[in-house]
Amino acid sequence: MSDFIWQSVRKVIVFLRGGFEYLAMVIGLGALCQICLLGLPAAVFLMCLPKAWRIPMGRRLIAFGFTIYLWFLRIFCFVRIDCAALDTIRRQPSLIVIANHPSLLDAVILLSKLPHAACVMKAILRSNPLFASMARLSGYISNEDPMKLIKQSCEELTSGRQLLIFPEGTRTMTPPVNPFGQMTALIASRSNSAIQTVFIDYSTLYLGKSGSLFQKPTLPLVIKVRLGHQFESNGSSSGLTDRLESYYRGSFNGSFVNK
Amino acid sequence: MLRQLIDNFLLSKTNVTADKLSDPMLKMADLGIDSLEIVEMLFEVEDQYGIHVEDVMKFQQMTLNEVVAFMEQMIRDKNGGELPQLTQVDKAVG
Repeated sequence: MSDFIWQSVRKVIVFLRGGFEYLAMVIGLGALCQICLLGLPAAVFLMCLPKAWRIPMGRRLIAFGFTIYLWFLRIFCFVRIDCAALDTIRRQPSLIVIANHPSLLDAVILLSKLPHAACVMKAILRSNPLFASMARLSGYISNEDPMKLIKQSCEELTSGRQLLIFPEGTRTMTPPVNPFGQMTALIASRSNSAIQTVFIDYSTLYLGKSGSLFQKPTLPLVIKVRLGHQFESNGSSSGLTDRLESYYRGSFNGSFVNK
Repeated sequence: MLRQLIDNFLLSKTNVTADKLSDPMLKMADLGIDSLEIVEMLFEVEDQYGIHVEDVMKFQQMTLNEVVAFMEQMIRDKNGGELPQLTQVDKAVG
């Protein structure tokens, strides 16, 4: 009899927990939409500013908005996010920041801590009504034309600003990382900039490439950001991509959870 | 000299073979090089001749001879009809 009661209680708990996870998913995505929509009036304001003011202010506004959003996730959605490691590189000039890319949340987390960074983003996102206006006005770089991408990235870096790029090119499909493209190494060698490696670990994968946008998370979702080695380009891209990819593959070493 | 610079780059930095380079009908895409390698090749020419190339995508559908002719025209336009001589092409791509 007591077993029956205990099992019934467990079923109720599992049901309630599943319900809360769906609720967290809905309010989490809803809050992201709200934050992005709030960016629209900010974009109108930014359009009135000269480029020299518009870009840094736009990036700060994005960092601020994403910071608010991450606190919202912490408080209402039972998500634990530790990205304090990024504070140490926040002001380092002319730095290329690269990271593994398991989830849609990665850019949100990194950009919340890197208000001086230009982000290399998929061309299709620059026509997404939620992200397009702020991304364009903040000088984020489209991957549509590789030559323009490299030139704009080098301009950012030689001006002392940072560049955020996901060398996998898209979210991870084959853990721990997809094959890296040559773009990062080419930018690093042409701008003679250092590359800071960043690792993003998830307790369980959420908003990954293989999952649906409306898939519920497994709570509590724990996200930890840690810094890796800093690589120097030494003016040559030769072999750098392989070194970066090998470093990422070796550094996860079974600790990466992607299920 | 421009053709030699491009040939040297393709032979030393990509998997393109000499017999493919000598085929005038092959487009850049048919040489087996990707867009990023074309970008690297164009950067090589930009750095040597001080020109600025836009819209890399159109080069994929050109033959190598057409690319060289296009680049040469750009360089001549920039230099008042002259094509500056490079002295150390081998070093430039080494």
